[in-house]
Amino acid sequence: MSSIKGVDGNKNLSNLEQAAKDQRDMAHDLNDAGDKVAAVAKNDLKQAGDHLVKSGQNVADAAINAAQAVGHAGVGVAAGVVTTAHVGVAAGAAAVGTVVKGAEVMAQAGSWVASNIAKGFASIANRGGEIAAEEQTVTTQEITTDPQAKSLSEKIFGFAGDQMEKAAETAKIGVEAYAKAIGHTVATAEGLVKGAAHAAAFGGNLLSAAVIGTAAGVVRLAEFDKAVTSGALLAAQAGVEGARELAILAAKGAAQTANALNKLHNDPQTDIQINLEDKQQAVQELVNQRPALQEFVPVQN
Amino acid sequence: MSVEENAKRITPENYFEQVLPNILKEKIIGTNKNNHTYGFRLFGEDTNEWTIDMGQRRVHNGLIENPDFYIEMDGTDFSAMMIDELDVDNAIVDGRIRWNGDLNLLGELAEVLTYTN
Repeated sequence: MSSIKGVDGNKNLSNLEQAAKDQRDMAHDLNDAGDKVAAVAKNDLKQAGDHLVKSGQNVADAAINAAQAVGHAGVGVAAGVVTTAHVGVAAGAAAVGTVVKGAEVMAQAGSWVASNIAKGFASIANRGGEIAAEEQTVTTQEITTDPQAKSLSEKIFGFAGDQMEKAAETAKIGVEAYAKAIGHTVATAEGLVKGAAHAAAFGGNLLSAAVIGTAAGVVRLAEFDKAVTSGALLAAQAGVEGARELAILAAKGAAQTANALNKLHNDPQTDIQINLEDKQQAVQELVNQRPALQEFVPVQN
Repeated sequence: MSVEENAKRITPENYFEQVLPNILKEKIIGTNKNNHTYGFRLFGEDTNEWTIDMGQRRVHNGLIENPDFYIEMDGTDFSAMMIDELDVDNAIVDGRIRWNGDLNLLGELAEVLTYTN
């Protein structure tokens, strides 16, 4: 059995070896015609394997084993047009323990998958640009590497170098994207405080931006968001039950207010649809479910 | 079993660790000048991360510190994309696909990865 080079992780190799062994065992039941076709396939696949060897990777043998074991007539056809991707796909099928009825079939499946992924990436690249023009996305990577939320605050509030400038053009934060990124970040014990800290920093910057020439009602919204995001950070640091949910709720609330604030900065006549009572009620409902949060949030039970 | 049914047995791990490396090896012969690094993080029961290094035409387990382009999404969405069942627009709008960096780089990667029989 040859080894697989160029792919990290020995787990694939052991899976391949086991799958290839299983399939060799199956070969005893195959008829002579199938074996002859498999032999042809082996020869053709070996040629493809030679190409792989030259480029430092040889997964062809795994596919050859699969071809021998299965003895499927289609393999010979596939081998005539086999590519490295086909071989890799066939090996991939063996690795997951699929009963490979034909390497060609799995090669087709793998090629189809590869094509779909390329199409999906292209679609994200095309559509993502248009959607991002309306909303900023935030990733877990950004959250964990920028605890002061400077990057996000700069995009949304024109915050730069600890100075709050005029509100940034029409920048808008993707509320759901931010909430989900915070949710993914706080899902682990290690990420809980980091995610909550990012939301707290963003909440603080939100309030700083809100007090610059904004109506009192919006300032009160921002004050509440700051209190909740700060409380979520304290709850996370204390390891209180419900801290994760509170961090997500706080981040979502701050993002909504940030968007409203920017709307106002760009059009002072904008009618803001967020009200403080709704925010308070959402927090209260969470506290009702997670009483340990009571001392960390600005609501009364 | 149809191509689509067989495709459902191919996991994101199979794609990144077996299929994709071989596509990249094949593409090394091509004329594409893409030398960027791409970080991928998939969420789900487990979080999985890979870096595509186009300069080396290799896929590494884990993320490098500052990839030129970074994207993260739910593993279930990636699986749906593998079988052409993902509504990309909804996933982006819903915040389930997020990224840092120039989306043109992802477009360039898509060109390289476009695979036809």
